[in-house]
Amino acid sequence: MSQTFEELAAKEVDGLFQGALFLQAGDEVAAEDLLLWTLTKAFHVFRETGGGESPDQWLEGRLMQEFLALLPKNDGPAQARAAEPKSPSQYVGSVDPGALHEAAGQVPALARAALWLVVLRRWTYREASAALHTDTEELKDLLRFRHTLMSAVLKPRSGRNGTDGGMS
Amino acid sequence: MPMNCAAAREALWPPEKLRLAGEGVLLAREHIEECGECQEYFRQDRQLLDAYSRLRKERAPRRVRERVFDSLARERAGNRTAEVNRDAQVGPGSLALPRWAVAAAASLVLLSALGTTAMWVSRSTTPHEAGELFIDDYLRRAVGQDNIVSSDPAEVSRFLVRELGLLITPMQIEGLRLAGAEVCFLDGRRGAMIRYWQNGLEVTHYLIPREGVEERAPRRSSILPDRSEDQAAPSVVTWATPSIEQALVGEVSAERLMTIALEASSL
Repeated sequence: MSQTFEELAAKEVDGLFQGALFLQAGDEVAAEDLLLWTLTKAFHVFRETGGGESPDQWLEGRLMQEFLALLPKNDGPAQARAAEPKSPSQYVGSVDPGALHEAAGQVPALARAALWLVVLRRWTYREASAALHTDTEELKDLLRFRHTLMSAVLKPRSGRNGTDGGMS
Repeated sequence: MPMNCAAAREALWPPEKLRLAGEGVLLAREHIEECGECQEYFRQDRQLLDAYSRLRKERAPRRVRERVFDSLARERAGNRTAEVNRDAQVGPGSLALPRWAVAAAASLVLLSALGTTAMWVSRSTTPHEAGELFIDDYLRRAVGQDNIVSSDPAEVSRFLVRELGLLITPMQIEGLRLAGAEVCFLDGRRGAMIRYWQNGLEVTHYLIPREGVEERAPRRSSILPDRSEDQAAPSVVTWATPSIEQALVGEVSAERLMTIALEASSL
């Protein structure tokens, strides 16, 4: 059954806003603008062509498209690769959801986009490569920044620190 | 030939997806079973995904939703006017009905207008049967917060823009008192339900967006459920403006509803 764009937007707006926040590294104003621009433009496309078989993924693709359009021309895969991701290590603790958006700011924009599509939204490598206009090998390079993200979002494991042991 | 980490992760991505155990998948699984780094990778992946899934459940700030749906309403209004017209004249009130009857009648009429294959429309229908069909809407109302109690047209209008992206001005008719609005959910479609009171009788205005619907003049409904003689049926009038199915359902007379609908649809 067909749905109106407003119905689709109502279902997806919360998730898309979180996506925009991640892509804009926690900048609420920038995320809001990105979301608004994405949905306003998508509204007209939807009226012409619909959202395809997977309207939610279609909207995510639209969000990514608008985000990429905001990036400086020289902020491509090569520039992202030039930044050095933190080396893999054994992480301890658990991921703090509240820190995720700010942590994204420590990752180059294009790598952030790759991480959002692949790691957080579960797009396949092929789908994400197409959305980012990269090939699979470039995408894998971008995904190496997951280590940077992980190290930034880890919550310190609570432990004995001399103040939480109670009275003896 | 053994796989390296990157190839194995790609072959099994996303890991929760069911896939045929082809040669590539078997090789990738073999690699993962023997590779501590890959096992750690997928453990961390689960952590990240869980954290982000919790974030996605958070509702966007009210300001953001208002701005988004206000923008969509303006975009849609560029093609047509969704405002409900004002200043219709109304006559005296009549029947008192339970609320379920009003809701069920409105839903029945609107489902028909929406082209739904509701087989029970053509046979004798009891209120209980009708209730089953509208369980989604009932449950949403029971647990949801998508409603506003207000007699302020501007406040109700803002609510509808924020929640539905519909630019609607509640009717302002002498003797008709605005009571509030809700988001209704009929046959998978979200719409607006604006409630009014007149002399203690409820009048409800349904507006259900539907792409491509053509303008249709108001008419009284003739597909109300059968009722026993001691049960008064609500009055229902339906019409359509571009992209919106509309209905007035109320405890007042059909003539009165028709007058309101004609006024509303003519402007």
